[in-house]
Amino acid sequence: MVFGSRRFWFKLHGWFSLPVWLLFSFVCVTGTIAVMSHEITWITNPEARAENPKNLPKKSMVELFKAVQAQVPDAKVTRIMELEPYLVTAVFVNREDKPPAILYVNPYSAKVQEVNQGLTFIGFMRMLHGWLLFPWHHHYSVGYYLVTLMAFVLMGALISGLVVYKKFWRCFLQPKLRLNQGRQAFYKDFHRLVAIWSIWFFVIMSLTGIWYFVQAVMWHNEVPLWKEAKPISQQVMSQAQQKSLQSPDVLSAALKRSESEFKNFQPKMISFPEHNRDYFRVAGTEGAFLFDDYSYQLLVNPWNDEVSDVRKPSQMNVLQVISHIADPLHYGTFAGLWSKAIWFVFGLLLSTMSITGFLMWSKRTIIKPKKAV
Amino acid sequence: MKVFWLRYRFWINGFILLLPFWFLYQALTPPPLESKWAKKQSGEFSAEVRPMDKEPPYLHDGKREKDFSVIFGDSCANKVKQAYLRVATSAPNLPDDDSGIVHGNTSIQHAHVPFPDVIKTDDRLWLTIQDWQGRIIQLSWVLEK
Repeated sequence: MVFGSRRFWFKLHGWFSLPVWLLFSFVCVTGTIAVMSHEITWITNPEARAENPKNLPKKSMVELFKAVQAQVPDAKVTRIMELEPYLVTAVFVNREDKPPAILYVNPYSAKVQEVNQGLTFIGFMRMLHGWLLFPWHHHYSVGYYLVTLMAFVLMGALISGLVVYKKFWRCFLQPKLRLNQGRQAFYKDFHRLVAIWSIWFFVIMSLTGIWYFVQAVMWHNEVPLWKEAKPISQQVMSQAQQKSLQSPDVLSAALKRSESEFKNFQPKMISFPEHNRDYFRVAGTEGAFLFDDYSYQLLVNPWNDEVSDVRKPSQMNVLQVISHIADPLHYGTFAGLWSKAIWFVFGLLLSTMSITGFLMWSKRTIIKPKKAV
Repeated sequence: MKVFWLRYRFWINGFILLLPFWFLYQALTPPPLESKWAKKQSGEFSAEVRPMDKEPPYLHDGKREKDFSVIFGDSCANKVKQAYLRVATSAPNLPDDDSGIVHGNTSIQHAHVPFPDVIKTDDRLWLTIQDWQGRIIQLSWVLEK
């Protein structure tokens, strides 16, 4: 076999995906389901829906916070997270002698519709797809590496496949799918047809996947992507008078700072200070295309309302930009339900690639085992 | 045998997919909590500590750390302005940095405690609390092996 020959590339194509074809397909299927996990939750759990029969305006995070305090008096809020307009706002809380919970709060009526103490479907799919439920050892998970290595498998299979498939661009003009000439012909045509029409999707998935791999290596080696703000100084603390940070006024002040810092700012996630030397972290969006909902962030000191750190796309370096555009591209969330639906369909198609590839190989091997790849 | 291997070798990766079931089972049946260290009291403040696991300290930013729960008693958690859990031979001062800071918003809180490379015989685990009046309260435990 000559290096660089068509046969070489064909073998390489097989070696990229055949040894891991089941794992690859599993990662693709779980990722495809995860794309629609919010919508599946909406369908299966009425308590997760943001019904608005009275056509009320959306309530602010401060109003939702007050409503939570009134309805679940022992709740100490750690995070408020706004989701799609048709879903409840998730309010993460701790309570005395109870496990941490997520309150499902209707963003229009401010009613607490569910107290979820267990694992959510959204969370489960994310863990299953992201790291196959492998445990985390502080900074790394073997499962996370396994899954992100699939990005290299995909990229390798795509490049080698395009080299093997001569004049593949013809598939755009003359798509061929033989349905009645035997299974092998069908698998072959389907495999090629799906691949060629999904090149753009495979490139996005593998590039974002490679970013997740890079991110995993950075986590593992504790290479920070951001310069973290120092804790609130002892000098500020010495002047801090007693007050609870679980207060609508303090939250309101932090939100006002973010609104004056950014234009057209829509807060999407607020993390409460974990201790008294910690900050309110307000994250949101100005609607920049492709950037995720947390691309604009600031830290607010709850004792003097000073802003300690600001993050926004115009000040990000290349890796920081990638970290904020990777998720919308990988999950297909950048244009709402429509882009998610497209991602779902192409995710399903991608899931079939290693299966049809394996079936073709298997048929050849069973008939002529000695000529196996 | 060779034919068998050639035919079935690419199914081996399927065994990886059994592992999520095992890890799910493990996650649903967590090991029992470590036992709490004896309750310590000083004035209106009392606390117990509990290591999060049996493991030795892990490396974080090149330094050794071990995670602890801090269980404040007698509703004293909201009287705490700031608190730190640290290993030292004598009562430590309030630090400028936040390593070992006790965090959480209920009676059960957590701390990532910096551990020295070598534990000296007179090293103790110190909980240093500052209350809202600026007073310092310190509780300490003998380090278990």
